[in-house]
Amino acid sequence: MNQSNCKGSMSTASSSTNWKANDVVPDQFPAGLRVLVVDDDPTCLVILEKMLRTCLYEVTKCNRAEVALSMLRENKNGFDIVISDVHMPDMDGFKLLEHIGLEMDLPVIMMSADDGKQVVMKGVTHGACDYLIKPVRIEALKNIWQHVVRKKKNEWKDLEQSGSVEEGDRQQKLSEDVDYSSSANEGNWKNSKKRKDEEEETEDRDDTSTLKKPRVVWSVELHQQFVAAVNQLGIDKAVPKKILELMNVPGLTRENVASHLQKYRLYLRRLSGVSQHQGMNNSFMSPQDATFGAMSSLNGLDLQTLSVTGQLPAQSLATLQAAGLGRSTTKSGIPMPLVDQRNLFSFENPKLRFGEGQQQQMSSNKPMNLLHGIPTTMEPKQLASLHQSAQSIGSMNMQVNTHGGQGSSLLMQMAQPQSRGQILNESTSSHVPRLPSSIGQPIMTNGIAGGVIGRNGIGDNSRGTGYNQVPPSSSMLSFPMNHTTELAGNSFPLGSTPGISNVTSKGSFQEEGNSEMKGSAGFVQSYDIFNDLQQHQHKSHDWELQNVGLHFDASQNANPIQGNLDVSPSVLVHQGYSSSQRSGQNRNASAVGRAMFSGVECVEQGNMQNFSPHLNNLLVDNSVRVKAETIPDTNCQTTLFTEHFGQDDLMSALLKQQQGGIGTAETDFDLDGYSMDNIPV
Amino acid sequence: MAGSSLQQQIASMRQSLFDEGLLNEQFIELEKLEDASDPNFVKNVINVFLTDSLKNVTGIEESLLHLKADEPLDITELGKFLHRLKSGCLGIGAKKVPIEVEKMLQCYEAGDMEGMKTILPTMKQEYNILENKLEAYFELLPHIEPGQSSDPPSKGSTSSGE
Repeated sequence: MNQSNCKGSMSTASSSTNWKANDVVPDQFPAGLRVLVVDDDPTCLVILEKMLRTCLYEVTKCNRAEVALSMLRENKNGFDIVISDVHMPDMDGFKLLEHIGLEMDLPVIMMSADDGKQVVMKGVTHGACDYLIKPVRIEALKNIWQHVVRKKKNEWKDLEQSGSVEEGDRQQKLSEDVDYSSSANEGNWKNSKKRKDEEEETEDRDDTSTLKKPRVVWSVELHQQFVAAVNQLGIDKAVPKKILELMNVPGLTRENVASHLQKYRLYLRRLSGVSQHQGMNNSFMSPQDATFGAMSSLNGLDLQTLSVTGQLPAQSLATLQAAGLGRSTTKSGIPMPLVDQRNLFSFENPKLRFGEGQQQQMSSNKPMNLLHGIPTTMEPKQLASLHQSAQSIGSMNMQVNTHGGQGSSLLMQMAQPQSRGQILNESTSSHVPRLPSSIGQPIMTNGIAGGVIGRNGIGDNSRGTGYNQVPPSSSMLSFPMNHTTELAGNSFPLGSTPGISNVTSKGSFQEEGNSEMKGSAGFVQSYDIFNDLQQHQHKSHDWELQNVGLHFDASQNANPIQGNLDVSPSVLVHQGYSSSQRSGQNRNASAVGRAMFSGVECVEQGNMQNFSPHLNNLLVDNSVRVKAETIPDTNCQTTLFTEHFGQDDLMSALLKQQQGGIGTAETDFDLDGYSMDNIPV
Repeated sequence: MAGSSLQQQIASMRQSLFDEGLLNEQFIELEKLEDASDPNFVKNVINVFLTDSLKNVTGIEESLLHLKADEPLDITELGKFLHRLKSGCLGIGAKKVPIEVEKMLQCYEAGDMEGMKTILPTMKQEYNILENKLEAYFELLPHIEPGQSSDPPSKGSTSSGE
């Protein structure tokens, strides 16, 4: 085994015992596993190397993340797994994680001396397949091969789906390494429903071109082509097949695109959640940078990211942030680019039904329920109608309201079926048709967020306009942040998402009619909760925000999203609002968050195009909120709310979703297209 | 004789490292990794640790000293040094130094430069104690050629006892 230091040179870890080769004896596995270790601490590197060698793995050391990335890029199939430290000078470990996930799709294990929940959660949300606490023991390293197997299995399944079972490379690897019978039939492993959903949704496998699909490395250029295609198609239309056609890259298969799309969504989701931290002034860093930036701070809304990306006007960003963070910012409403939000939404949570709902609303009402994922009680029809109305309202309401989160009664109320719809209608311009109660929940979110804020007398932002079509930022912007102020206290931060058409605020929130008050109240509560959550580190928020932020970023940067879009965060985010609507997925404790989030979402939907920036903000906001609230399914039948997420819940929710638990999520919301159009790349 | 007394010296010094609370069981884990094919592993690790940690401690100190009062902490490489030092100490099994470094890290995260400066002397002191002891131990450890018995001072045959 040769071990090479990658201090500056590319040392390939070509293993002499290529256990991937067909002729390798499977039972040697996991011996010969090719591990790349990245850590800037030489002491740890030496120790880890020794330990891994003792496990009979092939080890390559590297003390710089950039170099590691280069090595991985140059030798695409040269490693099986990567172990990386979190704190590194040249690149944040999480960024590296995302890069690797996105470009190479290798399992990555994070490690750190820091075992704080936040950072561990961050690892999970960024897609790490494991997280080790230093000092690492050899026992912990002995079983890392399982991550490789698992990943391969998933890949193989993917291949199966595409019909190219024969792919020699992957399959063989799989079968050999894993010792699973390599018969094509094994392809039924389908471990992730989402993949399946995606495939089903998009098209029937027609990958003629993929018989042999070597692992695709998504270079920056390729990814940009991908993003351009996605943007061009639009969120609701960007399905792998079409993306593939647009990209027109020879040798690229639909499966490649599908899996990349999935990751991208997660990535965006994460970005949106993370971007919050970034200062508004984040210059638009290169997509990657931006992404990282976003990722670094998981705090709540990734408004910064959004702002950076241009989607969110700095001002709004601040507002959103403040809102998100529970601070009261009297800034004017944050223009929520509906469009973006939608995108965000979509990314974040393909599974979010909500997203879909939004899309529907906005775009064409697909009959999908907003709450796809949410086992809402809302009848589809209602939802549909809700959608319709939501549309006008600008989805914001819908989402926001529904989620209201558990705590916030108001919100919840809104969530109540139909209240949402109503809220939507009400809040903004009241012209929103009363949505059937059933819908209330998911859709409402938007209303709530927007509505509440607005209603409370806070300046409500011009939502009126917003929701219907959510006039591009204008309405959103106008949303005076005063909501925020009011909300600040216990009002939910929805205020911050001025963008969200306050549609919801109109009494519709509440079912009672004075949704306004309630709405806000609801929000308030949720906001509080949300804040609390944030403050108390409900990581769920973070992640949700992160997701949101991430997504924004992603969209904005259109950079090769590093793969680790771990859906979790995004899922949550989406879930946040959607879940509340849909199914308790939102573990995010703060109901408000959800509501807020929904609000954001709503906004998006209303007008995705225009409001991209706004939406993002809203979304971010909402997402954050949404997650936070675990709206006890007041209305939304979806279990979302009911669940109070604890981090665990969240995680599990996310994980579940990721695995397709949400099922439709992917397809629903579909981020097929992350509509990046709004995102200024 | 010489071997055994060297061996005894090594053993007692090693024991005192534990007794004085300088090292924990992580160090034993490192020792377990040593084998005939790599008989100098522990020595090597200690060497790497001492070299690198000294750079980190020095870097931390200099960063703090040169940092102006209103300068944000993260503009320096402080964070990098702190994390590396902590990581290295944990890897080698040091007990006390990481605790101090952790305190400093928390101040760092909070942007509290003064707090860090307050902890610095304690951290340095702990580090110096550890460093001295480890160096002495390192010096005692024989350099064993691969293939030879890795038993420390084996009865005079290979113990070079340097």
